[in-house]
Amino acid sequence: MKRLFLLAFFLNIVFAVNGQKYMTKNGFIGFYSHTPMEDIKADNNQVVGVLDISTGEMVFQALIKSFHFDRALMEEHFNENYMESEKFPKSLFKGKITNLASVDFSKTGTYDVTVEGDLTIHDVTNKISTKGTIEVVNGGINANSKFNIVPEDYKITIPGVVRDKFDKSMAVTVTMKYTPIANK
Amino acid sequence: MMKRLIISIVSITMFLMLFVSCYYDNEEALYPVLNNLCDTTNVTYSGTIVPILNNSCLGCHSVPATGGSILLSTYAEVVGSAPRITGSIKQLPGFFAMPKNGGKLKSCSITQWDIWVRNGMQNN
Amino acid sequence: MRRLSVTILLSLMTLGIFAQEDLMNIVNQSTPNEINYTTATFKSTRVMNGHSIERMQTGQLDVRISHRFETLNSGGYNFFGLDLSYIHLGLEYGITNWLMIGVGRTEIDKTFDGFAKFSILRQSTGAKEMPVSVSAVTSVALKTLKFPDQNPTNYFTSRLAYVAQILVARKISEGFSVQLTPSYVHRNLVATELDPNDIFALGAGARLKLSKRVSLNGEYYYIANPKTYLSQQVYNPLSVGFDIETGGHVFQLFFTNSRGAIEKQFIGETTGSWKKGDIHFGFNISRVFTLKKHLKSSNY
Repeated sequence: MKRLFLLAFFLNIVFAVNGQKYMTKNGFIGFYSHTPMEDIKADNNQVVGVLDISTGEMVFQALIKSFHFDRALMEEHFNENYMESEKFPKSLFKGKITNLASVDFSKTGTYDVTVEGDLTIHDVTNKISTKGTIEVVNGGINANSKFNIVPEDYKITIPGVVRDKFDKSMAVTVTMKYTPIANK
Repeated sequence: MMKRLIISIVSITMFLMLFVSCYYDNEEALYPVLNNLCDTTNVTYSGTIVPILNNSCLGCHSVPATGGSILLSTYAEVVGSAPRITGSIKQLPGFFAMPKNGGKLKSCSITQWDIWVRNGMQNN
Repeated sequence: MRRLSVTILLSLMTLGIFAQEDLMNIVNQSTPNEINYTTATFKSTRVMNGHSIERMQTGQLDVRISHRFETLNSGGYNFFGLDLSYIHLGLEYGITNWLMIGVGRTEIDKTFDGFAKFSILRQSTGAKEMPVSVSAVTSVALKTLKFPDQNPTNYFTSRLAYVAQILVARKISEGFSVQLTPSYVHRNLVATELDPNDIFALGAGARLKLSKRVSLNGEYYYIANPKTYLSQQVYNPLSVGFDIETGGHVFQLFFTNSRGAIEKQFIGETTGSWKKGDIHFGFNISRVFTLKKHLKSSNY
């Protein structure tokens, strides 16, 4: 009995270490808000993301100070007043592809997926579920998704005087181009 | 970094060249005759007070500028505002310092004003 | 048989946990250790009268309107000084993200002023540690008030004054910043033999954040030159007040004993004394416009 347990245990370790992992250090996350008063748009091209294709789990982390605006003043207010990036320097997503079985990572092609997980922004974690696409290409995997987030859900306070400059929710776009990590 | 350093050094040097026109002057030394000469014996309205008003006051205290709703272009107006003029040119508390934008009047001018007031503010 | 399935189930569960933690480790290791530059040491490019370590970013224009009213001890009839104000107008622009220039005009002595502020060091943590931010300010002031007629010869150079300052600032915590500003003011023409043409002063400024958008600021310049036997009694300028930031505007409201808003005037020409009640209410309004957008956003 003990032998069976040990066998199962070791098998799992082997699987854990050899699970196919893909990562990127230049993932893209951008957000956009449009109102008649003002357009707010920021890009982050330094998102670190990891995808484990054997479990469908994905993690990505973005430094708030790496979100760049075309107006320096807007970027300063974003960090100082809204995101308080000195206190909360990073935002994190930990989730998984729920319909992993419908993706064949060995065949090139585009697959529609649903991803669920915990999104942590400004030290507040909310469960999100969103649709996206996984594109298997030669030498890598591209993952794309678009979803909306409401700033107030993450305790980001926007004062009444400027609330009209922001849309009710921000449109977030995620584009990750993963390449495989060498197995250890 | 190199480029920034070069541009800073060039700009600061160019700026410091402005310092070449750097002088150590003071009015006492530059205009000694004028400063040691204060005519306190022959103080008249037209000869002493009006030139001071022209130089330092009427820029604002005449039509159309009308600083603080006080006009000083006629003898009557000057006499009417005399107490406030005294307080303002001496920059006493409770009075707005005058001339507003030109710094304090020379002490010679203030003394001449005092003498004219003391002599009865004559229209001479 | 049951034990086997339980075991397998347990190991699969731990596998799940290990996998996510494992992913987290990979992510944390890969996140680059960047240089974390300190931002927003002060809310505006001025502590109150004097320059702060802050600068305009590339392509940003700051329109500044500054008022200093007359003294509170002018009495109730004069509405405690609010009936009369001295105004300074300024336009300040960021040429690069380390060089900022500005021009201005104040009605006191009808003075034009221009300055350049160079950012030399920036406070940072992370990959590179720098305890303070350091900048240098150089400025020129030109008095255009007409010379009194009686002077035999008037020299253009008599109208000029120069200022050089080094700003050393540190954001000690999110809510508290300090700055030291050794300053040198040179005036080509002064009133008497005993008035110094060169003034050496040490400025100290501090700000305490009261909320995300409001801070309490204080500023004091200690003039090292002896203050006796001058043509007019001169005092050290001291200012205390608030910064209120609303979107693109910063309002600085304060009490000060200086009438002038430029270095040449408030360092060395402050004739008001706090003890005597020569306290002026003043404010600066700063509005930043972005003239040049400095990053091309992707379309998505």
